[in-house]
Amino acid sequence: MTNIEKYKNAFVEGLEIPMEEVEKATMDSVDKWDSIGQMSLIAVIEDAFGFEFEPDEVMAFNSYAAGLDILKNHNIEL
Amino acid sequence: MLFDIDKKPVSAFAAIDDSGGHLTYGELVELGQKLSTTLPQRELVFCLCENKVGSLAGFVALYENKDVCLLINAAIDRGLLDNLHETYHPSYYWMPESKSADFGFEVILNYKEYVLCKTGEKAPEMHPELSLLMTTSGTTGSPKLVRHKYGNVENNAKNVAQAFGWTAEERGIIDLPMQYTMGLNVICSHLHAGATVLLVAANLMNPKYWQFIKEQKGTNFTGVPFSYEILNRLRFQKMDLPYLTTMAEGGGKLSDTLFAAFANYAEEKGKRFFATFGTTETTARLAFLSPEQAVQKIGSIGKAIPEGTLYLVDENGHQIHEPNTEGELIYEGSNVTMGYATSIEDLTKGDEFCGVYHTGDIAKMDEDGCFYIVGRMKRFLKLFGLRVSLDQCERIISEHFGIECACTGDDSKMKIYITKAELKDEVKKLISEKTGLISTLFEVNCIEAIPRFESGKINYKQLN
Repeated sequence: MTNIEKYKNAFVEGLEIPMEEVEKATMDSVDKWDSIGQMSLIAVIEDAFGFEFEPDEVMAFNSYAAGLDILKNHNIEL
Repeated sequence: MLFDIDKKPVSAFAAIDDSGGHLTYGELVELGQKLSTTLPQRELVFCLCENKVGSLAGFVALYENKDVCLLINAAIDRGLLDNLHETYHPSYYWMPESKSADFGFEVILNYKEYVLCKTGEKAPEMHPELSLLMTTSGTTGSPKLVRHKYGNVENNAKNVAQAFGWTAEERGIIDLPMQYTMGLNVICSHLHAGATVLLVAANLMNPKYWQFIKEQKGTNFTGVPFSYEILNRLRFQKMDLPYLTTMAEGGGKLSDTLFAAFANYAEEKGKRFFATFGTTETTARLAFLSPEQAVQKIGSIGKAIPEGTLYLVDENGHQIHEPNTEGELIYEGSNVTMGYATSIEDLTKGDEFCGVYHTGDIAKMDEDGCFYIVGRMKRFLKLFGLRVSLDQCERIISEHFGIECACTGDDSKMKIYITKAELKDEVKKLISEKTGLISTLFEVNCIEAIPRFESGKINYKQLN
């Protein structure tokens, strides 16, 4: 699996949304993306990529796109 | 009036929400008066709750008008809501204006983005002392409700406000849902004190949350264990929150590590950390640990709230007096509710608890009279602080698939045992949908046979 596939898969697993809705996912548009969803999504991503979110990253992570920036901060090639 | 709302300064804010809504004590009085000329007493009202000023105002005014509210999450699955509607036949709904089009009921009052709608049903017959209904499980949509009597909410608000020493200066942050017993208790105890409630819809991991409580100078935070896990993850201890004076925890057992971390943090920073304990059956809080003892008594729930009594009984129902002996935790006080309802007929029932509630929790008491929860007699888990009945989950799975099933586990994960491997994924999907909880909280295991006693009852010990 490529890194981008792993990242997309985290949304399917962590938020339980279909793959085709992943790219447009935001905290406001996905019902399950509440605090529980956020914690489980972050846990899946941390497991998949082996790094830990910084507190400001936890709070900045409010969309699919925002997560891509966080991965870049941790030098993950996409 | 409820909480002496009519005696508070009319221009003081009762509530402010994070979508820009404001509500003064004077407006609350006005809404109460308006409702009394619009709506008869003793109607059954389903309140679809959000942490918004309109939601809170409606609850207070309806309660004051002697109508009976059932508080439900506005985001409830429609099928589960219809199920509750079919069971109890509410005559009115108080709901977000944005939702009213989905129902097609006649709107008779419009207030701060909430509407009062008439369903056309006749209100069921209800006991004259019945004041409020709360769900026992916000998650499985079980029709089992807790029946509150007049005095429960009022007395608990008063006694909890006293335990915390709330004054009119407080700005209590409430991000727990208002339909959740502890959420409602935070709201009511602050209104009792004439304080301001800060209703937050944004979650703890949203920067808007922190911006809102800083701008609004929130003084008191209340969270379930999961909230504290998030705070820990956000390295809360390093945040600059000069207005925050009090942190309270309840709704489940905080790990000893986090308990100690927050107790120490509070002591170092001159803030107060309150561990509390409550149940829906006791209108939320029934015990609290005084903050001065938090560092010494890690994991304790402290003593009974003012005007309440807490004690332990052994298997024969005899009171235990020796310290450090385990027994069932029993609470007596004016916040003990009347009992349960599972059908419309049950709404006519009177007081079955008679002021005494058997919590179903196993506890012990130390030499100073402080209590510690050590286990649970009843079969439910608290996943993310939400009560999930194991028996109810077993029924949902068995009935849906027509299979044998056993549910067990702890507050971190539910373990589901079935005997048909091919259904593992489907069982997980079903139970996640029905409870509205993320599927990673459920572990489905396939075993050869569900272990049972000769009586036919499931032998859960063999599964753990």
